[in-house]
Parts: sequence; C-alpha cells; structure tokens
Amino acid sequence: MNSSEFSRRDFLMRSLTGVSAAWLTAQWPEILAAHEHARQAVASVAPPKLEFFTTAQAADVEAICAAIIPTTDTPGAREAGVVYFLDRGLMTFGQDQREPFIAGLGAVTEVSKQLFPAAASFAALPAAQQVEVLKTLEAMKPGETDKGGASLNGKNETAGKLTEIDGAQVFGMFRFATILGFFSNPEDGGNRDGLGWKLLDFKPSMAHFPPFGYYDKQYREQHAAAHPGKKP
Amino acid sequence: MRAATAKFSPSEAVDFAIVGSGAAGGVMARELSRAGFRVVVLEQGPDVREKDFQHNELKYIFQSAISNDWKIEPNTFRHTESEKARVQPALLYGRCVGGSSVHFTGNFWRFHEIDFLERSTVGPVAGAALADWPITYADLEPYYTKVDWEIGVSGAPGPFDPWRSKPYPLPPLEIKSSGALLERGARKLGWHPQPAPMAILSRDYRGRNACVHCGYCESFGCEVGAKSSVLAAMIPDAEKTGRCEIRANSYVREISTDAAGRATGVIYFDAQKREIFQKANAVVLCANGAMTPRLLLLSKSSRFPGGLANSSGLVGKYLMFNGAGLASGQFEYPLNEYKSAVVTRVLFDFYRLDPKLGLYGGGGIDLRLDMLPIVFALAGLPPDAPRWGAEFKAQLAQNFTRSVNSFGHTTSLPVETNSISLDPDVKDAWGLPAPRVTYKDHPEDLKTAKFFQDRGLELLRAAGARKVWPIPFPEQQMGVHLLGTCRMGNDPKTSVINTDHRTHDVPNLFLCDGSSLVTGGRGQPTMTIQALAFRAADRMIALAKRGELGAVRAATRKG
Repeated sequence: MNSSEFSRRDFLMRSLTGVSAAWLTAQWPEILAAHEHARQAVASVAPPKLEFFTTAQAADVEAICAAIIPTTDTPGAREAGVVYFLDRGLMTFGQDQREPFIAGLGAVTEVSKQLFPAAASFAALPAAQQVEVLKTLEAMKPGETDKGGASLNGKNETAGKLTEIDGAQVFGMFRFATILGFFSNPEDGGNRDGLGWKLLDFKPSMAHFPPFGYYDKQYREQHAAAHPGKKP
Repeated sequence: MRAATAKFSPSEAVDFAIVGSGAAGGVMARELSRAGFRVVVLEQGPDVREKDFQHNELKYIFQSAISNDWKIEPNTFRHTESEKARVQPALLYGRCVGGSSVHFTGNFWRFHEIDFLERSTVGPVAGAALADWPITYADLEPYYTKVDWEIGVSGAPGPFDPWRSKPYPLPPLEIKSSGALLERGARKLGWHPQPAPMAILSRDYRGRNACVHCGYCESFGCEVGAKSSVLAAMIPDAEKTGRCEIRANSYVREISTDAAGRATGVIYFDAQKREIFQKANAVVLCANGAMTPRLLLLSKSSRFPGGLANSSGLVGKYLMFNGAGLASGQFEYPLNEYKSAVVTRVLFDFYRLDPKLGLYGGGGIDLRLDMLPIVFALAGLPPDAPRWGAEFKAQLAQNFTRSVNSFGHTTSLPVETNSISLDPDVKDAWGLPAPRVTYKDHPEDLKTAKFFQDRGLELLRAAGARKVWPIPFPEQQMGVHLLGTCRMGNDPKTSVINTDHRTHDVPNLFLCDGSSLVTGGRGQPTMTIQALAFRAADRMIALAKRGELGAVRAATRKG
C-alpha cells in the first residue's frame, strides 16, 4: 500500500467517526476491504494491453472516442483510456456487442472513404475531417444513399453500399460507449485516474457531510441567523 | 453477523411459503415468523447483503446488478391488444433478497383519504375502471404508523398530510440544495413545501446506522443499512426467529393445487435450474405487480383453466405505472446533488387537483437529480446542447453539479386493457413464457402529467434557475411501479383478493404487493404496500388462530 492509499483509508476512517454506530463499526472493516480490493485491482491493471481490437481497429476506436469527448484544456477520452475500457468490455460483459461494434467501425471506414477517398483510415484523417465523417454518419438514415442516386461524395459508383446502415444508431452506439468508458469506475478499465469524474467535479466518497452545495449552505446560514441555535 | 437461520426440507410442509422477499414479502416473513409460524421465502434473485454492495454506476444501472436482467428474463411490450408485442425492457424491479426495497429511492408517502375513495368522490372516468377501495385510510392508518416505527421513516408533518396517530420516529434528513431551492421557489409562488417523508434513517435507529450521505442511493443497495429496505429492517428479525428461511436463487414457476382446489406448495427452479417442490400449508405471493399475476397465469390447470384465482378474469388487468411530469433546470452555483439521499423536500399543494381545472387526480413535486455521471452525460443536458465534441464536454463540466430536475409524481387510472399477460411466443431462460406488457396511458393521466410539468417549470424559474426546459413524456413503455393487477375488493366478480388479501377462489392462497392496490395513489406506492403487508399478516395470523387456515398452526412463541 502506498502512502496515498493509506491516507485515503485513514481519511475514510476519520470521516466516519462522527456517525459510526456499533453496527457500522462492526461492518466497516468488511466494507472497506471490498473497496480497498477494488482500488488494488485498478493498480494492478497497468500496463493495459489490447485483447480484442487489432492495432488498426484500436486506432480508429480511439479517434472516434476522442472526437466525441476531445482533449481540450482538460483531458479527454484518449487520456482516460476509453479504448481500453471498450476492449476489455467486448472481451467480458459486452460480448454480445462485438458484432454491431465491428460493423459500426466498418461504417465509419466506409463513410471516411466516400468523403475522403485518399484516407487510409478514419484514424489517419485530420481532426476536422474526422468530425465531418462523424457528422455525416450521425445524419444518415437507412436507404439514404439510394434515394435520388446521390451518394455522399456525389459519385454514383458507391451508391447503395450503405443502404442498410442507420447512421444515427451507429453513431449513438459510439457515443454511448465513449460515455460509459469515460465516466464509469476506473477499476472497470476506463476513466483513468478518475479524469472523467474530475471533469465534472464529481467527488465520490463513502461519506459526505453537509453543507452539500451552495444553496443548502446559504439556507443553513440564513436559518441560523433567523433562529439562533435551532436546527435547520 | 447473520443469525443462524432456519433450514427446511422441501418435503416438509411449512406453514407459509412466501414468494418474493421484497417490500411486502420481507414484512410478511418477519411478521409471520415472529408469530410462531414456519416460513420459507423463495426469492428469485441472489442473496446479496450490505457487504456485497458496490458504488458502481455501470454495474448497477447498466448491468442489472440487483435488478431483473432482460437478457435472461425478456419482456415484451405493446400499447394495445391489436398489436403484436415486441421484445423490449418493459418492467424494472429489484431481483435480490430485499427486492425493490433495496434499490428504491426511499420516498415514503402515505396515501391520503382521497386515494381510497376516489371513485365515489370524483365519479367515474370514461375509459377507466376507477373503484373505491374496500378499506379506508382509517383502516390502514395504524399500519402506516407501524411501518413508520418498525421500518424507520424520517420526516415532519406538513399542511396537506392525512392525519396520523403518532409522530414520525425520526426527524427529516439534512436539507440538500435541491430542498433549499424547492423551498425558495415554492414560497415565492405561495405554495407550502415540507420535509420529504423518506425511508432513510436521519439518526441511528434500532441498531442501524444513520445515512452517511454517500449518494449511491437510488438504484443501489445501502452499505450502512441506513436505507430502510426490508433487507436492513425486516429480514434480520425474521431470520433471528429461527423459523424463517430465506431461500435465494429460487425462481418459482407454479403454485400447485390439489383436487379440492387448495394450494399445496410451490414448484421452483433452484440455482442449477433443478425443479423442486416446496410443500406448504398456505402460499403467499409477494412477487410484485407483474410477477404475481404472471405466476397465477402460469399456474393454470384443468380446474383453473384461466389461471389460478382468476374466476373474475381480472388477474393481470388494471396495470398502473404512475405518471410523471418532468422539467429540468440549471443554476448559477453548484448544488452537488450527487451527494446524500435523492430527495429532502416535497410539495403536496397539488395532491388533490381542484376539479375546476378539469383534471382528474393529482400528485406531488420534488426537486432532485437522480443521475450519476454516466446517465448525466447521456441525458442531463438540455435539448439544444451539443451531443458531442468540445462544447458538449464543456457543458457537462459546467452543469453536472449545477443541474436539478423537477419531478411531478402523478396518478395512473386503472384501464382494463393495460395488463400483464403471458407472451405466446417469447420464453425466458427457464423456458417460461415472458411477461407481456400491454400499456397505453389514459389521456387524463397525460393531461395531469402535463399540469405537473408546467408547475415544475414555474418552480424552477421561481427558484432562480438560469435555464429551464421541459423533459418530454412520451407514452410510457416501461413500468417501475407495478400496481393494480390483482385488485382487492368485496365482490369476487370484480376483484381477485378480499380484504384479508385472501384470493376469492383459493382459501389458502394470499397475495400482497403492488398488485393488491385498487388505485395507484400519487406515484409513491411502497409505504402503502408495506402498510398492507403488516395488515395482511395480522389478518392471516387471526385466521390461523381461528383454525381457518387448515394445517397452519403457530408454534409456541419464542422469538
């Protein structure tokens, strides 16, 4: 156990002294052990390795996720390791999602090539063009390329290729997957270092104490001024 | 920590086999075992206790950690009987020891006098089978009070409350920013906010710990036992008697009957999917408002061709989900709604709507953000916000701590075609017909929900929100509150159970859960389900003492 883990546990124990009854005191070591186990599991995850995606697929997945939650002045999906969450998910709890996921990657590749015929892959495109690909995908409805004979790049030879694809649904799947990987618990493989939670200022803890937010703090202060000594 | 619990052999006839260990089943198990009866509780879900619970949104919200798993238990859904039902999630309930009382939010409103007498008070409503209850608020009040004190409820009286014979055992929970803003907005509008009645301990109580405000509350199990689930408040007492066995991973598929038409026990699948017959002198179904009627329909026989206890033809009918009028708002400063219990203040000014408004029913309003990071990112921003990219990310960062929803909890009318039935084609992982849900909101309920949405928008604006928007309420396709499907009544032609919760058709078969309700109340049914369970247990104990339950006999009371 390193010092930061120790101080966290110490904090948890201290933070509960104000509320612990006999029942909790008895239960607490067991609860704490479970959470400690979860944290150690995170520590033992590194370095992540890809088990499901090929290197090329992983590059596309990472680029898609990074377009959905980009790196700005704060870290995004790339830094949070969302691709590793998805890789692990498709090997474990999400095995039934493999087929639609791989089909979705195929659709992204297809749209990339229609819009930018020189593109080697989605991941190889400049960021602005990646965004254009995903916007096109998001707006696509099944059968769209058939109607009026106009394909995405104005060339008819590819018309009909994407008729089966509900682009909005495919994009929705990637959006959902990115959000899961960015905001789920770090022990599940994404949200590395809690980067997703830090973005939101979400501070999970085994216990919180009032005041919880700005308005209840203000409420308590006003109540204390109006009714000295009385509980709000 | 757990008491050595009873173990019964399936071939030994216990006094009561209870199906389901949730809000009603947990109460029933405690009351009947403490009264001296031998009880087996068959619970389809796993035996998870406080030490097993996790703070993990992915597992609890998206992977059915303690709720029904549609991958193995599919549902089918259609709006009307003329449609073919399609496979989709349509029912959500707790699937673990303690049932939905483990993952519920803890809102613990009593029904009011009007909820029992709506039909005679407001008259008939076209397209609905609105009926008065055969019991009144006065009949149930002692049991509401019993629930308050036995389960542990925090709160304080308000101006619209029904009368109560005893105060709350516990003071209200610590106010959150949502509560402070509800008070601010409501007072500006001339309304009357009050502390919310919550089945969560604000103080240590009966050896259980007070809430530590961790915020993993709705959809999660409470690790410290502060949420007044039956897992925390009832089941330990039942196990302590030495006469109650909670048998987890036991999925009941049929209630057996003999040639005389009496229940003889239940057939269930154990964890290895082996069929086992548990003999019982009486059977009590507390399996929830979807699973109880389904089990009766699954238990059809030559003697009961339309399903057990279904001479009325009403088993599974009058399904009510409750309605909702929703709005959302963003504020200037952080509320941090992710901390502590979901709700701390509530508004009952519109519990009973003025008939002059031309609206039936009514409801209550609270402010809350029952969204943790994943759900917030998926659905917490206004409709005009970008759905991805840098601006999406910026808005998430700005608003996660500053958002709150107004939730108007409203009535549902009993409509005969809204129902649970057996799907003719789709089967679950045990080969049993999937529950088929047919549901279409009554137009009056949609009007009422809209009224509550409008009040929510007003409330958020009056509280000082910088931005507010309505959350659309498409016709419901998923039920969490599962009510009314085996309604109580005096007439066997128009109801399934009598006021003792005894089925009209099978003298040693009792039903108690959301299915027993005649009306759906105003959106928070659990308190009433538990009051009914305490009352039903009393009635059953009295029947047994009078020798009216055959071989059911209480042991000399020890526990």
